[in-house]
Amino acid sequence: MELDWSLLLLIFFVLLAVVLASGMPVAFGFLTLNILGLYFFMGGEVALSLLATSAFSSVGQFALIPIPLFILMGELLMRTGLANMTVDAADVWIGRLPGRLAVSAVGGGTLFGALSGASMASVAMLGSTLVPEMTKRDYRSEFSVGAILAGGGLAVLIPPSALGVLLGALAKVSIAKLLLAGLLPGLVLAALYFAYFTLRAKLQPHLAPPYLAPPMTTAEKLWSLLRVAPLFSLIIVVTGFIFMGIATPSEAAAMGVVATLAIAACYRRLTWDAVKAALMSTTTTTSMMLLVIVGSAGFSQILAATGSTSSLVDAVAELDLSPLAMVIIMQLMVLVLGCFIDTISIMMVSIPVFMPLVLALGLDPIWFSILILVQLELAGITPPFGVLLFVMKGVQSRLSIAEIYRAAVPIVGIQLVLIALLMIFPGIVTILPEAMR
Amino acid sequence: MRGFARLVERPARWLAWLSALLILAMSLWITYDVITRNLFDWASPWAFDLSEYSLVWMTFLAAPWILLRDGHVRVEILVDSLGSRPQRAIGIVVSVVGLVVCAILAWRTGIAAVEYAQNDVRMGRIWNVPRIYPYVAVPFGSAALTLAFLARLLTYLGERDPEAVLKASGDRGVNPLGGT
Repeated sequence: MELDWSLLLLIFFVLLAVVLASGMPVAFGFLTLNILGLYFFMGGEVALSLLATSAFSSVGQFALIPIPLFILMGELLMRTGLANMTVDAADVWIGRLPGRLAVSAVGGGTLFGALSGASMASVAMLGSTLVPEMTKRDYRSEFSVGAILAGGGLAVLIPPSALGVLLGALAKVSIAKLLLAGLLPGLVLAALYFAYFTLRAKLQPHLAPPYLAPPMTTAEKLWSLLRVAPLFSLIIVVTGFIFMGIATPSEAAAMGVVATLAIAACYRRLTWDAVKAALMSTTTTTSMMLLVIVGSAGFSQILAATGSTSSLVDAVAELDLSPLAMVIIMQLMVLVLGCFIDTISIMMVSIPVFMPLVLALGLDPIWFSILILVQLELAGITPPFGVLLFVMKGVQSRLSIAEIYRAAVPIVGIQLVLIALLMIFPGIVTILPEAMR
Repeated sequence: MRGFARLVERPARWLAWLSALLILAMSLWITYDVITRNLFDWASPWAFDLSEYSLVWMTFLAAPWILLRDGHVRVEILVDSLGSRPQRAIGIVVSVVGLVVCAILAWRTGIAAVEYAQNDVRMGRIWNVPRIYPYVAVPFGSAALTLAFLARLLTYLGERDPEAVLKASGDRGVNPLGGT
């Protein structure tokens, strides 16, 4: 069937909107569209045999192996209680800063982000450990929840990152380089949060009343650092090995899991219950993510085979917009999508369309992927459907969803500042992957 | 949840459990491969092939259980704002569509699986196993998903407040060993 490509894209996105709005699990929504697309645009029943190949090859991919392993690392750290130790250590060193518990959340989130690749686990961990303490200290919910969302979301950018792996696999860029490219932007974001929370707590002390933290001697501070020192070996095993070219992301992720198990055993925190809970949670998240990939696997094939991708690239070339304007338009599209659909779905619909454009515009695909990753982190906290907002609601059920939405707004603003910074200074992204062996 | 849903729940739970163990095992054999390759120059070419195939297995083994527990990510906010009658109607349509789609997937991948088995198609890798071994997870999982959608459909047809029943099954968590 010959159809104008723009009409085809329109039909696809309208149908997608209808299917998602119906409350159908997104994996099956995508699968439905995939089957319809194959049947009507790719040659009827015969084309359905493509489904047989794509359902298998879409997930049986080398590049996706780190996803369950990075998630498992995070889950193990959380369920064995090792993750809480990172927050405790950050807390000791923060001292008497204004809004210190919020800063602890950012510090703990940065450390946990460097140890694991799962932002959901990070938000759940920070939310359940720090919010009760913040409530006790009379922190306003918009301040405390904002801090948790900020700290938890850092795991998306700071390597290792499960979402980064998925993005790299879809965009067909080097996963190792993409993971490393997220490190500096993640740290810059943490610094922005740090500045925001301390400044706001100083200017509006009623949001986070100051209190005197118990004084700590230097020896106590050093001991707190020494206590978590073994956890830092995980950073070497995972991010360090990838950076030095010693291990591929998959190998580093697997060794990270084994090292986490060993460290938890050394701390005498490795219980069968913790391992079971971590495994089950990992299975659920992984299977859910990968099934969305199965469902939407045919999407890029259909776009390419119907000529939509190349026509879109040509049409955009004719618009004669500057690459910067194009990047901003694409970012805005992701931002809007982020308000309505989940992170993985956004990736599945946007990357097959964006990546050919990015290459045609001569942009660095790694730099662009990191911009998208920040946008995806943003999508996780953009009302009304950000998944991290619901995780937060899950661990702190006394908070209303409206309170959580209000808390998310400034964090969204700060992430937009980061995106602007990365566009003005692309070196923040590119310097580490270029230095990689 | 009752009747048919209860019947399929137990096997689905064990499949999810297998999927979970597969992830743990995968981290162990990859680490084993890295260590033996670097320390003893003793490569295990099967390790990465097996990991790729395991991704397929773990996806399809756990998916039916997650569906039964309403754990697959979905946009609920619009449906939640509707009254109970339109909710039920949409739920029935969605379940029927899901059932048909999974049945088509099971059918097409089932045909491919039979062809692979009959023609002894191999993976064509260093670890050259018959393609049917990793592949059969897809038709098997899709068939199980079809049954899970049937259970969902029956919930929408038979329960007084199906959304509440689904939400309750989700609240019980997706941990196949019980608890959350």
